Amino acid sequence: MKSAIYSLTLALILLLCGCVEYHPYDTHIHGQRHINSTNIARIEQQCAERREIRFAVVSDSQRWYDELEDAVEEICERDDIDFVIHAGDITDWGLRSEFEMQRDILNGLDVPYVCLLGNHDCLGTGREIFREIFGEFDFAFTAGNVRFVCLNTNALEFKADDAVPNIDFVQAEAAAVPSGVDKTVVAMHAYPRSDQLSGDKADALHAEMGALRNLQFCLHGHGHRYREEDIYHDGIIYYECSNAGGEELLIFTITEDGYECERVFY
Amino acid sequence: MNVKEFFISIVSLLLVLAPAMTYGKGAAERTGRDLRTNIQYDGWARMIPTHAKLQYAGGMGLLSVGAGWDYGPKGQWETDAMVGFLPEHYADGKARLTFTLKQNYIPWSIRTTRWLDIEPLTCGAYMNVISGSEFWNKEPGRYPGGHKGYYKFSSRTRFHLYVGQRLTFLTPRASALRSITLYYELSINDLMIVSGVNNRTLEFSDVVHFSVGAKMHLFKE
Repeated sequence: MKSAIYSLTLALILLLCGCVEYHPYDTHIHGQRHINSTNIARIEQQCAERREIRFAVVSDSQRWYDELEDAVEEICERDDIDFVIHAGDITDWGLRSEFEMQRDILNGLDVPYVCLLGNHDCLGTGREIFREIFGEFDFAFTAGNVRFVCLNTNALEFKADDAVPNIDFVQAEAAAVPSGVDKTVVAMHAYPRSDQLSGDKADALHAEMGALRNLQFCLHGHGHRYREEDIYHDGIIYYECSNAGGEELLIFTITEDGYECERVFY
Repeated sequence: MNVKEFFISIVSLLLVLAPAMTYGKGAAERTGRDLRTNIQYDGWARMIPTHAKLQYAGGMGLLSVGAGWDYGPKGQWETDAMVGFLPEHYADGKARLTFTLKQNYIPWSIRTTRWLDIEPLTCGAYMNVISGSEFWNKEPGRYPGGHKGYYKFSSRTRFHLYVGQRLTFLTPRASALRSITLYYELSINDLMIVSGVNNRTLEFSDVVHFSVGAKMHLFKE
């Protein structure tokens, strides 16, 4: 009788220990890590030597799990997408379980994806969980002949001396362009002159981006609605991707002749 | 684990416990009934805690210790104050403490043998606060949004609801330790309730978490 209870208790613990939580903000990560570096290797390999690429953008999927899943299905139904960029705010509160659940939905994609850091992802211990699961806050990769520079623009979430946005990173990208790269796209979460990225910081960043090779356009999230705006009146368009709750994603096609932005409602 | 697996595990738990419920028949005089009695302190002595607790997980740290008070004619109510520890390995390189105020309700108890009570249902709520400068109750002043707030939540304080079951092992009458209770709980926090109700894709095991613990019931004398 005693042994029955002991073995039962033990069995129950073993059965359920997969769903133990020490704290919603603990950094005890379950499942896949280092998503961005793994997926960047796939993107660079699959798009190598290409002169034409097509990618999808989703953003601000915080707490919109069903809608993110619909977006993943929408992308999977098409067979012309090379990769996906998530423009940040994967979580609403920066909790570990939010990152994991969103990652698991995105892992349903049949193409590689990368995630940017959003301001909500910085809450609590969120930024360290992001670093562990996805990777660095500023990163870049090459798809065909296009360089993608992905930046952390959530300045309000960082201290003044944390170098957000990271101007040095942009300068380094401008100084050392990988061979075969003809043009650049910049991705960020918060847009210039928003509550996260104030005027002086945004203006300094935009000025520095001029040194990047043949900048095509910028894309971002944060505002939860589609927008295209020539913020600095210099021909560089900032495209805002709607939140996942808006059930809209963007598909960009970059060809020898230019680029095209398509709004897709799902 | 999805909802189906959860029910399978609960049913198997009850199947294994069923023989235990009949085992003691005859061995003890009165079994199958709620034989709890709450021997209370008098006056100011009621401030003395009636039990100590140890809990693993449950959103209040890796391990929590605490003390609490039983009340009600059969001790159906418990209030606990607990301190949890989250080692640095699980908390971004800095060890954290958490503080929990927990309210429990244990409506029924079934005496199975002279030494074992089964409490088929416990439920309750708790509030947990975590230490660390990256957490706040009130948003730091740098955020815009005025009195309405920017993020509109507290990252420091969480509210949890739980249900669980218990086994209480009674000790000999002369012992200073009246009983040892082993319990498990399935808990959900406020943010996961909000996430879960709005998303069909989230599974039970995504939002509900498992914890275990022990209660040492101390005799008053």
